[in-house]
Amino acid sequence: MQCIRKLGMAKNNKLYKGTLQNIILQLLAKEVKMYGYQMTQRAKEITKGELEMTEGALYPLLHKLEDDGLITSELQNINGRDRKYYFLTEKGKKQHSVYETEMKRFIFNLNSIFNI
Amino acid sequence: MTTQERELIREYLVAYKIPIEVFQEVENHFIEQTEDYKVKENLSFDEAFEKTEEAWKDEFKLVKNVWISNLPIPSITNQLFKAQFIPCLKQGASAGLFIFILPFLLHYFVANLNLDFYTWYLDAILATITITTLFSFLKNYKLYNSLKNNAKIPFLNKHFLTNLSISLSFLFQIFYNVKSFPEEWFNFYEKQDYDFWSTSLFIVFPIIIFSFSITSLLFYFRNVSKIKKGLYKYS
Repeated sequence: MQCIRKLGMAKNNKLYKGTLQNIILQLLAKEVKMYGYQMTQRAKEITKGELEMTEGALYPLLHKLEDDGLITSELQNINGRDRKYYFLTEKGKKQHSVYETEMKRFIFNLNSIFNI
Repeated sequence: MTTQERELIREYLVAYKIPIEVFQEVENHFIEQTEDYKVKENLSFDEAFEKTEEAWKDEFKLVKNVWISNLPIPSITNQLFKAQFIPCLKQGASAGLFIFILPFLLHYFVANLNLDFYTWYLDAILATITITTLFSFLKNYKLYNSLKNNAKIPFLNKHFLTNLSISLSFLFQIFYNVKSFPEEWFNFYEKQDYDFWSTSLFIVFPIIIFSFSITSLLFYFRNVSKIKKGLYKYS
């Protein structure tokens, strides 16, 4: 577990960076709409504090996903505070289902190798 | 959280020159994170804000990026710029490559092209870029004027618009002062008349400028739509 924590916390870890996009799409697929801070907290909550997303990687990636048409955003005023909510687009939903299958296969294969 | 405390967070982000494209969500993140620390860990505002600052310290480390500013900028601004600029640069380079290859393809697969075609081809490219730029400048004039007057919150495009204007005026100069320009293209593609200096000056260099102008335009369009989405908060 300590090893996973280090992975998640490491700001420049290539493994972590490579999966951040999948994590965001997965969270949006399950929660429908989310804002940046909520994503960091939800990921932390699901992994019981093991995975901490770094903000410096999160926001540029959210903007890139939006430019690529995988997600879209909308400012909503909740209790007098503006929040920028992100949603999956139709293109994003299709991409997510492809990534999900690939990731599950990848995790399954890694698990098989590391459990020899 | 009190209005004063919110204002303090805003001033902190303004001091770090967080660009308008991401300002709203970073500000919201700071407010929520600080509030969470206050409630969950029973801290005062100052202590909670200090913890938030600590959590963000790597994103606020100052780095140099001459494309955005002559002064150091926070790492998060640099990362945001890279995430948006690199795809635009790839698309701009692809467009430049297409402009370069198209006469070759037409020459080999359709027919030999005359000087008039090259005059028309270069005029068409320049006109497309110029008209698109002018149209978007005029369409978003009010928006950019208000942003320019609000010097507190910068926007990533600022530098790019200047570069774009310089590139285009430079292109104008070439086209209107060097009369043999289409002739050089005609010689290059139709007569295979290669000369290092004239090829670099009349073919390669303008294509680089075309690519750069297209990159700037794409970057501009992407950011304008982002700024518009969150603008009512700052107007």
